[in-house]
Amino acid sequence: MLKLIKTDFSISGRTLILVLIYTLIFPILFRYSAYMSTVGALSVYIFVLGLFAAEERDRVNLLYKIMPVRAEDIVGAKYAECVLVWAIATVINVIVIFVMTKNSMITEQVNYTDNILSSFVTMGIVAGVTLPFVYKYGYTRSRIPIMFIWIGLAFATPMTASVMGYLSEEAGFPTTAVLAAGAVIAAAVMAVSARISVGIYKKE
Amino acid sequence: MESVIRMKNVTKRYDGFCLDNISLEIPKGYITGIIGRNGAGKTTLINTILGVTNFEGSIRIFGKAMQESEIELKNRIGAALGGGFFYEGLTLRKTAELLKRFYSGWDDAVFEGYMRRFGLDMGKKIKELSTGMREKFSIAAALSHGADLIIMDEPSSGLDPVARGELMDIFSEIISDEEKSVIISTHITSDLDRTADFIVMIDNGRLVFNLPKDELLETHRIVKGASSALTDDLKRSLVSYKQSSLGFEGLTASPDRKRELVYEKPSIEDIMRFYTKNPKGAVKNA
Repeated sequence: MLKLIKTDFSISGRTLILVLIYTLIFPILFRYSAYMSTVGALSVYIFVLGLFAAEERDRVNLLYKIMPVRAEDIVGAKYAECVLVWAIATVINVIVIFVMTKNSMITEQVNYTDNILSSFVTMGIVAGVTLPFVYKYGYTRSRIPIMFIWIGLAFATPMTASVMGYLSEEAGFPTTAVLAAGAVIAAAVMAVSARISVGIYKKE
Repeated sequence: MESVIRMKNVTKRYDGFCLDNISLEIPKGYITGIIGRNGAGKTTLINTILGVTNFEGSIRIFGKAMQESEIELKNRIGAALGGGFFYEGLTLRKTAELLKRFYSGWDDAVFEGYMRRFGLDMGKKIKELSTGMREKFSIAAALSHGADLIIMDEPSSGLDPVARGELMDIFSEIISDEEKSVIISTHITSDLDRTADFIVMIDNGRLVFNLPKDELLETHRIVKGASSALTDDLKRSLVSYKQSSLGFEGLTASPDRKRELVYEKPSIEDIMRFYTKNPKGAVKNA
């Protein structure tokens, strides 16, 4: 699996640079830390889900199928890359926001833990829901169902926020605890999604 | 004769196409050509062997099922599918480095030897290669990790006659130790006339025959004659035939000879052409 991750990173240098650029641009442009979730999800979309090289990824998929690599490793590597790319984007984001806060460029009170947890939840749900579609329809054909999933998730955000509000304000759970529980659920969604994706990959 | 591949009742269904209950054995140490017109099922057959697609039935390669020994078997198989499916932006050198990470038997010296033999520049990017050069690179990559079974899907369709001849020579060299086997799927049957030992014909997803090439060519004859000589008995004995104002031409697998007819030795292309007209004519499995 490590070989696959190494390969994907070595061939996607330009995409990684793009991810790094907007990871820097988002907080600088909006001067707001809550965009950390968006940055994490977008990083995954661009780097792992192949926003810019969908057709090529579909072709190369056949190469991986004839190489001596297990389906579990091929699929597992993609999920691991999601976490890895999210982690890279998040670390950069945290550093930028920290520097900006120190220089009074961001005036709000930044809760890094909550932001990181919320970003992980977004990334986990997005990757977990999206990747089975990628393995079912390929990178190119899955773009449309993925677009609808993203729209659906965007519409679900206010509902999620109200549930969060209820749990932390009405039910008395600390926000960090709610987000931590959300992160555990997101990790579980990714684990279940990975099993489904392996099944789909083997069946195709 | 030892088999490198044993397929039993292999079926794969797509919308509008079915690879239908294929049972065949591919012998070890020989070149086997898989022939059939476009869309006959050659690529699907190869994809099932390579484990690229799932299927019903069983396939054993070197006596093992792909599901049981996937890594071992894929290391022992060198496959070139079409023009290869590589990253367009990578140079040939970088692509080779990528492949080297995964194949335990990768040999740089062998790979560089093929690069020189095919006249390929290691510094060129995949996207800069012509169709023929892509195919050469794909073939070089498939031959550079010491595979015991080489599987090529339409390897020569984008190559010029000189390169095709050279490729067939390479295949003959590969099997000279009688340990390695080569499977070539092609609709350019002239390549197989010279080098293949066994011929498998697929049409409409069905196995038409799987025979030693020499037996195939010896047992079949092109029959020509006047239309008046085309009796019902003769029609029944022909695989298929075509008739014109000048007479008829057909293919027979019967040893009977009639004095008023002309019998000629067929090429593999002739045999494929006539069996394609009547795919249910015969199912012969060596």
